Amino acid sequence: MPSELPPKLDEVPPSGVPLPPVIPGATAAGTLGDTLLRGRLHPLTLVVVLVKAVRGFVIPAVFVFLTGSQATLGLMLLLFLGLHLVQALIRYFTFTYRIEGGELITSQGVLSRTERHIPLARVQDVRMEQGLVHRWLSVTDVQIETAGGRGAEAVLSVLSRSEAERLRQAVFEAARAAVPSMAGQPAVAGPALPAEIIRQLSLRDVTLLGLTSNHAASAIVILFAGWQLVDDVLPAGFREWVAAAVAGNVEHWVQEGVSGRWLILGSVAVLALLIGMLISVAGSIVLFYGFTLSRRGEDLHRAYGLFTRRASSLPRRRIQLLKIEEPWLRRLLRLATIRADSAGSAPTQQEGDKSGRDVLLPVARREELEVLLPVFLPGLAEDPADWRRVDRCAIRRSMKKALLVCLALAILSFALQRHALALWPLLLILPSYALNVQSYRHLGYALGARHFFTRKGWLDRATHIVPIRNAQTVVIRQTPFDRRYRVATVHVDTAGQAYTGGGPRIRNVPAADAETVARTLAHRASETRYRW
Amino acid sequence: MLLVPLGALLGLGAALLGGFTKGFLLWLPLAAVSGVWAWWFPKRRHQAWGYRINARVLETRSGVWFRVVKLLPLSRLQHVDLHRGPLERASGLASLILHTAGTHEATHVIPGLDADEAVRLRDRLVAVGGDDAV
Repeated sequence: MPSELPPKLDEVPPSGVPLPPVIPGATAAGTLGDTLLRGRLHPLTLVVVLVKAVRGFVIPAVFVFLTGSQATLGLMLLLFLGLHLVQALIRYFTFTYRIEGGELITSQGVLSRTERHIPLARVQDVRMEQGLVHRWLSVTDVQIETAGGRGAEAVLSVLSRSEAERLRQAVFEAARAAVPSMAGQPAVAGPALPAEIIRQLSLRDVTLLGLTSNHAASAIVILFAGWQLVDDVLPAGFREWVAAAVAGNVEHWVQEGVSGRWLILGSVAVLALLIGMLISVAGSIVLFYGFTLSRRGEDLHRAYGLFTRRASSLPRRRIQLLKIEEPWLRRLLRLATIRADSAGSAPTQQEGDKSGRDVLLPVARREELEVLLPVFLPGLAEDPADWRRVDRCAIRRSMKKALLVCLALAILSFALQRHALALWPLLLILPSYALNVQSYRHLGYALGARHFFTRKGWLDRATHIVPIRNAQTVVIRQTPFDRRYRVATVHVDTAGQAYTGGGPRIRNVPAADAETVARTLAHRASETRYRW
Repeated sequence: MLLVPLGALLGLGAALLGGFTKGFLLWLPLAAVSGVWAWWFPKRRHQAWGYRINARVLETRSGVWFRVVKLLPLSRLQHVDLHRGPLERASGLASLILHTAGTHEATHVIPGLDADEAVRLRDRLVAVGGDDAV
């Protein structure tokens, strides 16, 4: 298997490349005055910029070629490429970066020079991204993120792979020395620590991941919508014509009594499902092929991608909270997805989806979780906590909602068809009761000495784990309805909730318990200090 | 809060539509309700507001119908704003705005503090929050 993998980003640079000097661990942050690392962009920046510019130019060029004269095209091409080249040249010649005094300092610009100081102690994530061109040229984009910002604080485009690796190691080693609490720990040089592979996804894992993502379901929806559209847009009777034509062909093997139309709808659905699955498997392979999660000392390192290789480093103490997701398809296969939030920037949801940054580990077997979770949150294994249930009124309250929905559906259906059989939505009440009881059984929270856990859902399950040192605020909310049942909602707020869909929130906790739990949580949190 | 001007507007609309005298069946009850509301609700809201500091945790509670209790460990305090709008200045009041590194509950407001008390409270919060003793 490894022989098939594309070249990895996380390989240690060739031995000839000098590594940055190790910072003396015991020195305080203020005295780190020496420049540790100094560099500039790789000359291939120009090539990468040109390739990008040409790529962006292709579509307008085709358009101009088809409509306008060739002279205009030539002029436009020259102007376009020229502008990009000048910009790239300026960036290449003026951009410098260095690590000095516990800060990463970038500076660029000719007329107005911009110098940006990024305290290394605040660096959340160092990411590398290599498109196909980058990989061919053996260079990479580097993005450095700090807490609280929107988007990357520093973008270095492009560096050679070995240089990027040097920068990454220097940033994290300097950061470790700059944080007073970490200074006592031996600041061993990065390469001396072996990279321990935590989890490597095989092609089978990645395929499973694609098969169990819900893109298949959305494909069905899209196809049905398409079918509706065909019916609306094309002349009346078209659908009947298609149905009749296909039905005529399949008549031989259709048993009597099976309506041809339903058969067609069924086969369309199956086709949609298959296409959807193919698309999502392909997408999953392109994004996550060769996914490797490894640990070097305190840093978690991820590398993945078939064409565009991405790599990111996340010191594990930066993890604010973990979320374990088990959507029903994955739950059937005993698979789970692990998401983690750092206090880094919060990108838009789309960006997270496309680049795979939103998942720490896209797919893990449930049996592995017990071993995996303590790797992400050290100390988790030594923090046992008992699950506690919420108030039973949770069932009654969700049943009230379900009843209302079923009644409304039944009334609507009866109004349309005026037939006793049209009352079928009322039959949904029983399964929804069973579902609610099951969901209630899986609702729960647990308060350990250093972690807070919540879990919910039976079909779709989600478990949140928050180290109490990361809790920023504990909130108890009570709606007028909550008061009637003497229950409340407890919510723990943490920094940087971009990927886990908000901190743990548990409803229908008996009011007295909610107060006790929230107070205990806040008190335990107050005894710790929050570290960025 | 919005209900008072809304009630007044509705009442005015009813009065204009139905004529001041003919429509009084409409606007009079609305005006009465708005009046009682304006007199009673702010008091009730004020009553519901409270805060206390117990050693290392700041607790605020608020809300008449939708009750919210927020517990803020003071070691999580990032910075504190002292805010005084024109109305607050005129009545010698101030609000404290507390910021944490959180996401959805990153700011906490303690409104309607006596100006001197606000300053004292801020200094105390910052002193406890910045305490490195942990």
